Amino acid sequence: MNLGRAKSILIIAFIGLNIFLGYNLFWPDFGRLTRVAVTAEEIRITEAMLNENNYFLETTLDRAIQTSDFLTVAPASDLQKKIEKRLVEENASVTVDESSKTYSREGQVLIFDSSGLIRVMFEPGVFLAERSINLEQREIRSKVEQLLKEEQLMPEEIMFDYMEYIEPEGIILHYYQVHENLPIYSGQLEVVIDLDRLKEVRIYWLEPLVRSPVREMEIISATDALSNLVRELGPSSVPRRVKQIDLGYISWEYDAEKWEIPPVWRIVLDGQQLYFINAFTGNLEQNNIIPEQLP
Amino acid sequence: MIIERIKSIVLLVLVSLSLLLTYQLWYGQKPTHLIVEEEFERVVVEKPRPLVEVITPAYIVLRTEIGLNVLKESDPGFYLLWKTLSQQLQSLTEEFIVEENIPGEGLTNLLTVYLQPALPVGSDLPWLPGIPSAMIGQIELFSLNELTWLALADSEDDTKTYLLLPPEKAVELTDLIAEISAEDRIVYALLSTDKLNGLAERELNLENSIYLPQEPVYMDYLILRSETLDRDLLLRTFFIDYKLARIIEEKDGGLIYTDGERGLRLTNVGLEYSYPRLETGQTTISYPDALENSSSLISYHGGWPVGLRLEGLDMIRRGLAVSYQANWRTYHEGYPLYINKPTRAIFNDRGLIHYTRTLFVVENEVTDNEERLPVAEWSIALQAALDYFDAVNPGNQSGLRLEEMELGYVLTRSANLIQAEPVWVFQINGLQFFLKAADLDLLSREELL
Repeated sequence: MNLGRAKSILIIAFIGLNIFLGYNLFWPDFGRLTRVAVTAEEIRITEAMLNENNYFLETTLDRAIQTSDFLTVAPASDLQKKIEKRLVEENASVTVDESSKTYSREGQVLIFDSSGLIRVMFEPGVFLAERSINLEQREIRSKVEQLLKEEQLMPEEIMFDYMEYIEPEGIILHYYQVHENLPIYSGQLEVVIDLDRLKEVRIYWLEPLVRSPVREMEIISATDALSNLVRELGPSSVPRRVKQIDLGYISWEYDAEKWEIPPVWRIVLDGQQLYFINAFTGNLEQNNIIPEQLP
Repeated sequence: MIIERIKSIVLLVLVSLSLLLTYQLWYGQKPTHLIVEEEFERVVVEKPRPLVEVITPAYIVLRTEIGLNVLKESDPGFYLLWKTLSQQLQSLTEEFIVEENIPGEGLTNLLTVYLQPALPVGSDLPWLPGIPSAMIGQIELFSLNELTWLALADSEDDTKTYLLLPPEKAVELTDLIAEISAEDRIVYALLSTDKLNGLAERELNLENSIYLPQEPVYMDYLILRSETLDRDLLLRTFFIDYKLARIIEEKDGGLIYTDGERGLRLTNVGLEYSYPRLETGQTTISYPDALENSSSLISYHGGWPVGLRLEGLDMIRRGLAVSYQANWRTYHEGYPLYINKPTRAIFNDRGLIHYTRTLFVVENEVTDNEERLPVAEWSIALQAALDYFDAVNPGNQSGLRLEEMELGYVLTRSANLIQAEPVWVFQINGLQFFLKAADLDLLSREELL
């Protein structure tokens, strides 16, 4: 191979490489590496800080600079209407009080709370499998989701979150709501299994109304969120592992017409403890700041 | 040959460019349009009131030839009289203190000023600078022949300090008292234990000095409207960057702003703010400094509404946390306005923990279509109050304490109107309740706005 040909090949290769690099750097809407906010050095510093405080990073971090906005939501009414319509057609008995509406039919009690929470209680429960706890997670999910579909209790845009094991032989499956590929962590569906039977389904679903692009702002980085959490929690006496850190939305339950919810970094410690860091303010989100809820 | 040279240059440029792009990608570069400028906007708010304007008396009692006149906040003459007396106290020093007792006989009491919260006096304070620090709960003005004294009663041990007024100051005060007394005013009398027990036919103890009208009183229903405040400015006083606060629209029309750490709730009659994170703080500031802080808080967060009076300032302890709690109440023509959440601030060295402020102003008095409301006579009202107390506390017939009895207004909602209804306000054995001033029907707490 002569030198001229080698140069030609190298030129083509470098043109390709530069196009790739330029694409990742300057194409605003594509690629996770677009607009890098977190440098390798910052990740190293964050990891060192975590380790000093007995926390250990066991997941990858989103390194892009991102912007987000508030999402306006209201309690979802469609699912409730759909279920109620079916109950009325089936002549289920109904009792109404100040804060809830209760339907009863054979083997089921359904409570619609004014806050938007729907509880479906099965008595004696719907049989799933002998000793469900021994099944593979995938199998349990598959059976549960099939049942939810049959009972028309499966909302759209839903994502499986995690499975919680309750002593002695209970399981709770956690699902959350998704909107435009971002989780809404407070839109939740929980399925309670006791031994071999599905006992209860709890649904709190939100209706995304509008995003506020005029209030679009840059959010804090994942490393900043982690630093803020450790600052908030303080050093740990036992090793704690950061299993997940994802961006989504969070909202507490309000007895309100509609409300805005902020973007948050959800940090999962040891696979079971969830913390939400406001992605705008960097504060640990808490559920006790609304004045009327104060003692 | 030339082509090869061009190739070499192009290759060199491409290698350099790839190195540069790799560096940018690896170490990061914030696009300039995303660099958010930190905004520290200057918030222009109402100027805080000086300490001398923070405390006003609970009430001032004037003695006239035909009886007593009681002046309260927003009552004509009240401010003028208190301002004059306050200015005199600011100019008097220890040289005016009378060491020996003043004559007991023949003294005429011209006025009594009840101070709640107590008035701090002494060194480094505007009132009576130079004398040892004290907290004054009551001021009386006495005269005998050509001499006039001020008697200052300590709020804690009731010990009295006498000050001999210079003649010109004495004349200034007595002339003003005569001028105010000459106005057409309702005559009051001090309720005595004997009178009370004779009326109630049971043992009833008086906890405070209670003055009651001795002639017919007429009051108006008041129509109120929401106070208009600059919402953006108000939000800026609570949140460093209120754009970070999300909005919650409540079913009753209320609005909540919260950034996840602090919350502000706005309704058409009030606002409520809380910042629970600060609850664990301490407070190291003195009582006078706390008074000034409380004034600054009102000025900063919405300003001073008409007729707002500081009713109390207390240090409160919850576990290891220590804070001050300041309570205000709005007055209209000398009558207090009661609402479920009156203006109140809880603060410590870390900042404002909890704050409520009323957001209403009196629009007009309902006198066009209706006659002014004749108020039930005090003795009948007291009997009705005791009947109600007996009904809710059966068997509690002895050891009753009458702690509060006065006329006032209670805010209620009628259709879409916010109105203030005239009431008799009672507090017996710690139980506060309201009887409608005309027919003495009970007004339940649920009816209060």
